[in-house]
Amino acid sequence: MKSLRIAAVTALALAPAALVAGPAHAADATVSILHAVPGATVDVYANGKALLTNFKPGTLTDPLMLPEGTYDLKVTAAGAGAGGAAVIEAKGVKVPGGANVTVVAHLSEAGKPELTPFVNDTSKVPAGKARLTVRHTAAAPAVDVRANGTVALKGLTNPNEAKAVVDAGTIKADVVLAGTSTVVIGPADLTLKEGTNTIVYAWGSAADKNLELAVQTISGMHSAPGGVPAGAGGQVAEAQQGAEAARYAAIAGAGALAGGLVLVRRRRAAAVR
Amino acid sequence: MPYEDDERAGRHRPARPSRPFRGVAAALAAALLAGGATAWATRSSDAAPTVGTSRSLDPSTSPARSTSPVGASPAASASESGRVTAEPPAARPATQAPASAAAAPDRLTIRRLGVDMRIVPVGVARDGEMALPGSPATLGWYRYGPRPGEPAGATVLAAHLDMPGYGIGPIAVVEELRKGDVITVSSGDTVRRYTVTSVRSVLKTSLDLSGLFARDGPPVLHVVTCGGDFDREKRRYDKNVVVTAEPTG
Repeated sequence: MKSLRIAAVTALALAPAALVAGPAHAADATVSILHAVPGATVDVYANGKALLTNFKPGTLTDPLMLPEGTYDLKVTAAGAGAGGAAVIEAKGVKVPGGANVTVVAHLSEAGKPELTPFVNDTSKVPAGKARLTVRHTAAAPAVDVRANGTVALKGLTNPNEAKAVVDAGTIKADVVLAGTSTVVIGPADLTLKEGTNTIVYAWGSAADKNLELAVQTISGMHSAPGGVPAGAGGQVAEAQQGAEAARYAAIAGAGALAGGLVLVRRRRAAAVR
Repeated sequence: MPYEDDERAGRHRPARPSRPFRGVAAALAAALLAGGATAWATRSSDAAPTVGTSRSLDPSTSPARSTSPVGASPAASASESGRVTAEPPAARPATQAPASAAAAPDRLTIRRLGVDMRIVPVGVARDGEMALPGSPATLGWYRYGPRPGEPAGATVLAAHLDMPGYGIGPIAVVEELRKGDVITVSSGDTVRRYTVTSVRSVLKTSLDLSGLFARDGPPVLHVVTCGGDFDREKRRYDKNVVVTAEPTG
């Protein structure tokens, strides 16, 4: 494996003492790590302590709660040890409390391994919709992302992302060189589950012909529909009003009848006397 | 002497009402009595536990829901219980999980009330409300929520109470449901039974929609239609009738 230069990552870092941390705080961040460097099984260290071992390409960790702060990250070949040669290194990466983050080990557009932290959008999505996020983490030029043959997100470059709120459902997704119809990845079925942020990563190397898609799904951002409009005829209400009217008529009629009978009887009785 | 006392008492008695007045009073008393008896005899029977306006749909059977919305349950349990652990989080292939194997619901029956209705999956209408099948004969199942048999949340089924041209739909009888009544829902070959725990009529403006469409908490069935007063101009009812039922196997 080539030895590679340190890639400085300034946006985010993982906090120092987190690996043997105590109870959760509201200021913890939710952190997932994606291994998107082809061909290298690696170990990941945070502040000198092993965080992951035998981490395979194309795999994504379960979310990890880490206190906010700054971290030094190092990726080595599997089994190389904490002092082993760095495949990727990033010092002083800041992790903001409460954020949901995916740290991605990937190739730059030029093919150099680096680490990029992405903040995941966990804001609520309207009923019936999903958020689609696409991240360009491949050694490839600018691309467009298509859904069912139509460009959905265009001109995406490494290491950037684009996102949109779309109808939930399953689409046929593919990736083309920007402005062209030259397909470089896919097509593949992609399920955009309602209420989720479905995050798609383009990764690998165009030169090595191993470009592919990785998917991460974050759920829980659904919204309820605005109501249940279950009746537009009004016939039940009419029937109820009719029944009420009939009832009042019956009450009034019974009253009138009884009152009338009493009067008649009294007059007859009076007449007899 | 009694008679002397009475005579003396009679002279001081207040004047009795005149005869015509007494006649009217007697007639009135009879009228009120007869009217009251009729009113009582024609009162609607209060079969359902509480059919009246509630302030909100009260998910009283559900425990407090977790408010943390995001992601799979976290690994590295420092967050869960304060336990110290250095266990590395699991890593899995970054691909999509296959879709749920459970079948969608397709039929609802309420034997005691003679209800037997088809169910179709529905989503969200353009205005953001739940979409419903056009005909009151068919129930819509909110497809983005849990299906019968799933371990958490509310399976929501709804049908129109009535429709121009169609008349009153079969769902209208749910107001007669009682606590303990059985509803069965079929999903393909699997039939599941639910026991009614409440029937409520709630003003739409007070309805807790996130509770009605909850995706967490214990599994429950919500059968929904409309009720209350009808606005002829807007063609809308002002209430929802919500039947809550729990799975019983």
